[in-house]
Amino acid sequence: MSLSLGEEQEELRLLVRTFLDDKATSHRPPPPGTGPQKYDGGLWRQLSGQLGLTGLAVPERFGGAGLGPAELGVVLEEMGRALFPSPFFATAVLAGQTVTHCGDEAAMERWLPDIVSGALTATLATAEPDGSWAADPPATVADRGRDGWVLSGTKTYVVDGHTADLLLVTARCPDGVGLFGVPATAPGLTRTVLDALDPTRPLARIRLGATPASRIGTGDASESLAAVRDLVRAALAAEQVGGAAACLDMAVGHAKTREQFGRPIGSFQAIKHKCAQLLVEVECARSAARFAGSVVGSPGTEAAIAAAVARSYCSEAFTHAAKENIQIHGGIGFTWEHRAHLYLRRAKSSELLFGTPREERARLARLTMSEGAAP
Amino acid sequence: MRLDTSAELDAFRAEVRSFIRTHAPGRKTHAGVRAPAPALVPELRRWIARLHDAGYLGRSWPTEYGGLADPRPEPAFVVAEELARARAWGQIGAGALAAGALLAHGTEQQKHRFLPRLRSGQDLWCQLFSEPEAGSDLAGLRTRARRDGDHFVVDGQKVWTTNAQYADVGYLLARTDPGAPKTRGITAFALDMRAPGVEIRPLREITGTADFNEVFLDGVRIPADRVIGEVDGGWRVAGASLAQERGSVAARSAELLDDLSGLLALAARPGPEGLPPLGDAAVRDRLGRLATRVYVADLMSKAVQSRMAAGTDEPTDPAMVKVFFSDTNLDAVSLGVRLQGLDGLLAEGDDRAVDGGYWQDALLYARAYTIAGGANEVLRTTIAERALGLPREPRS
Ligand SMILES: Cc1cc2nc3c(=O)[nH]c(=O)nc-3n(C[C@H](O)[C@H](O)[C@H](O)COP(=O)(O)OP(=O)(O)OC[C@H]3O[C@@H](n4cnc5c(N)ncnc54)[C@H](O)[C@@H]3O)c2cc1C
Repeated sequence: MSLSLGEEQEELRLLVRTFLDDKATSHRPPPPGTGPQKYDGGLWRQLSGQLGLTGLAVPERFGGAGLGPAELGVVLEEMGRALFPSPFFATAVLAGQTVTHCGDEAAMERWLPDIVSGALTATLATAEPDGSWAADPPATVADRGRDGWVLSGTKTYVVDGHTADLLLVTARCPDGVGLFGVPATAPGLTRTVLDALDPTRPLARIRLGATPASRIGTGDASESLAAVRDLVRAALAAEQVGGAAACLDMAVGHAKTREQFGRPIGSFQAIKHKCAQLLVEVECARSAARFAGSVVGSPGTEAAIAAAVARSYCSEAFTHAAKENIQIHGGIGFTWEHRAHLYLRRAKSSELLFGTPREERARLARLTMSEGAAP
Repeated sequence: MRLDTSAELDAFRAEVRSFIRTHAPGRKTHAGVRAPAPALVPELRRWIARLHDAGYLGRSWPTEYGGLADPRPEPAFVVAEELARARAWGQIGAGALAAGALLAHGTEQQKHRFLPRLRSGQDLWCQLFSEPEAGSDLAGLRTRARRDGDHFVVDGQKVWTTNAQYADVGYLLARTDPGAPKTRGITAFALDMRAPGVEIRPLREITGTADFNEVFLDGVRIPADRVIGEVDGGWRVAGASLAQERGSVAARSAELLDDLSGLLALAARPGPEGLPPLGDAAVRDRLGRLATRVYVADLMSKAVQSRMAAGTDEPTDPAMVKVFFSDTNLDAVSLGVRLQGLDGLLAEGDDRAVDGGYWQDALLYARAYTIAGGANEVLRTTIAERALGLPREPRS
């Protein structure tokens, strides 16, 4: 293993970069107050079925490529760079990895092939209005009715929750935290799209009123969900690296061309040093995210430490890059039409998704206290 | 955190670790690149010889000069890491730097004379680059070397010369052509530190220790065959040898990881009323932030090491590692003092000082890393210009 990409990973990166450069450039932010950015269904089918991206980390027996979090990271870094609006993160990472690691063959057979082909979009709904990402036990309850399980409660901050075909929902069961599959069309389910800080990553609130659901796996799902959370955190960290790198590129591009006082602003040390510092942080963030991508999914505390390090660092590196990018652009960077604010919105929002930097730091302090720091 | 390595490298690491445990003389009690106590120097010369004989230092050198001609940087990283981890002494002074210059630019005669003496610990080297008026702007150096038959005669002053008090040979930069553009009139020399006219005056640092010196050169005669590289070609020689200094990339993060372990121990130590600092959520947050940075510094250094091993590294990689390391180190050692509560007031002279006053000394020393070997501001300019292609500013 190395912190540099292997040959095939580099090919994958180029493939995704080229695809996004060709197909997904210059999307402007939607006017304020008009809701989240919509994704392009045609592009979705191309990147899933044709390019096989949604199946990268799905086992081969379900039509996937049988690769892992490192490759998902490669794709997400590129998508984060482009701020590409698509249900990829929700479908391939949140739902795809939850199903892949749920240990329930029937569930895998039922959903994974359609995730691979792009026929199905899906997401994971764990957060609840009390403000925690993985309430344990969840306030949402599962009851065994005459015709099977029914769920009641409210989930919120559900990524792509208003468009996903399938929702994976956590709920309190007699035997612990249960994981359930709920089709978006199920009776008693209502969804409301939220006015999210980041219009490029739609969020929804889902209300469940005695909504029929199928249970995934048996017994308490807390442990497999915790493992999935490490995968999700590594993936998000990679996406943050891409976002930070895009901000740096934009800032450097502007600093080279914008002239004041008769010379490019990039010749002033105040601007130069900001850019150099961002490059250091982007390189550091990339090392942390790649390492997390190479160890999450394997047992042991190293994966948990790596995920916490990556999320804690990449979150702040991205936010810093997004803020400095606006500063370096001056007035033009403060306009709605310029994409700079979209990166700040994405950066701030992705800090909060699935655990804040502060929570990650507390985890890390705990983990290193019990592990000892030395390699 | 460890990257998977080969079984061979793992075995090598285990061997080096046990070698150091068994044979290393003295443990460093201070952080950083420091001068040893005088009494330890003879033993360190023997230790340096042992490290070379075992193939741990100078491993990449051609076999005719005693190396193993091993082109891979990984074993050198392992050695640097293990020495730092154990807080053991390695090469002291500027030996690695000088070896880089000699191997790349030295004459056969110079290599045969100096390299074996360097390996055997017989010659300790110091780096005579910086001057009172030439620090970041090194090319502005004024020390003059004038040709006089088959000798050069040197007059001038060097400063901040670490380990000059023990050095046998100085790796000197001096101006041979004052009329040429700044970088073109400089020549590199191997200077006998015992030559008449060389005067070494110790300087005391903010830590209270005397690690570096002023070196006055007054009519010092250097034989012309001690010119390293071409006359007036010293700038290139210096550049090449600085690029050779790769081990430090690995050593620094090993020391940081060791400090993190120390910080965790401090945080768990009962303070006033018997409560450990770790009980405080703000302390946990600070510790978590620091642990993040330390691990990231380590991973960044490993990423650069693997690029170096693959030959895909960028010229600015070491500068990026250094900037991030030195900022992180400053935070780490500040936290080390902070976690001691009122005991933070004591320094190493007090026998009740926590960890023998290590953190107080390290806090003061931390500024060496942000200044020496390229001040961070200057490195950021270099990174911006070389790695990002931003417009260059005026320089020599
Ligand atoms: C502990 C220690 C050990 C050392 N050992 C040795 C040794 O063994 N041999 C040796 O030759 N030298 C040695 N040095 C010297 C070291 O290389 C210099 O201190 C360093 O290059 C900085 O030069 P200076 O001290 O003259 O500071 P200056 O160059 O005067 O810098 C002062 C401040 O100005 C800033 N600055 C300077 N130029 C610019 C610019 N263009 N843009 C923005 N900011 C700028 C710097 O970043 C710094 O903050 C050592 C230094 C230390 C601290």
